[in-house]
Amino acid sequence: MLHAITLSLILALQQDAPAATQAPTVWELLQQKYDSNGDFKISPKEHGRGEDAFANLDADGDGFLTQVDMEAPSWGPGRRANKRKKNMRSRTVQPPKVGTVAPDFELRVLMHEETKAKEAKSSERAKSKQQELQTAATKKPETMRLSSFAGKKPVALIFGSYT
Amino acid sequence: MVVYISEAHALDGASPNTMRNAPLVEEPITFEERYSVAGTCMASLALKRLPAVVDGMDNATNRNYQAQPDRIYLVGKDGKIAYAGRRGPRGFSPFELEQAIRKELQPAEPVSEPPVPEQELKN
Repeated sequence: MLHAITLSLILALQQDAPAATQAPTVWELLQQKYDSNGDFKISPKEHGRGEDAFANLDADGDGFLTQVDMEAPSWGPGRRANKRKKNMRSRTVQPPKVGTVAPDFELRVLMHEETKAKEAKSSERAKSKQQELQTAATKKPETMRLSSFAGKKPVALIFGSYT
Repeated sequence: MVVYISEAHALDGASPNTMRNAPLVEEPITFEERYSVAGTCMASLALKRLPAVVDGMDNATNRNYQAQPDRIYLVGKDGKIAYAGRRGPRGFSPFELEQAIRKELQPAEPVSEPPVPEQELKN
């Protein structure tokens, strides 16, 4: 959904950019990743990403993913059933209200590639190979706990995803 | 802080995005995949200046905040919800968040002394 926010900006920039290579279609992407025997159809075993994901893509419900599934309307029987299940699940918890204590969480911090590269460089300079390996084995991924900000500063939480 | 949660319109999800130019993303099935998609998301959308965390595969934070597909909150300095946005995309309002931040950062009004009764003043 965060994608929607910047889509107009990206489109504006693309108008001036040179023509890029065409993005693969859904079928091209899936075929490249999962059609291991090259028979132009993907079995649930080849796909290997769970029943729900497979049912969502198998628009004609024949038990295989083919190019036809990707050309068919996106709302096949499997996808409709999973959408109903998802809607039922999402109605079970009420969102927190103003004035209530914010539900706490401790989540892994997203490290950007530049930060990772910088850390790796400094670690290379500072330590011997053996020390570096020992540190890597014992180093825990960095996390952030919401309640650690309490009494210090307010925090805006922006929930979203790429699509 | 951006909290990356599960994909709203994954190509293999229940509500795929069929728009042209939409990124082709499968719903991550491991934390490593989710972490990687989150990184791509922040880089592609030029959001790298914002700190970001990634929800676990149990989707507990997403569920506790009823955050799907997107939602904004402001947590006050006291650890309580100061602003609770409505469910996105229609309820996703950066403008409302801005107003809430301004209100939150306003200095507290000084506590005024109770007025002295007139009789006491005469004495």
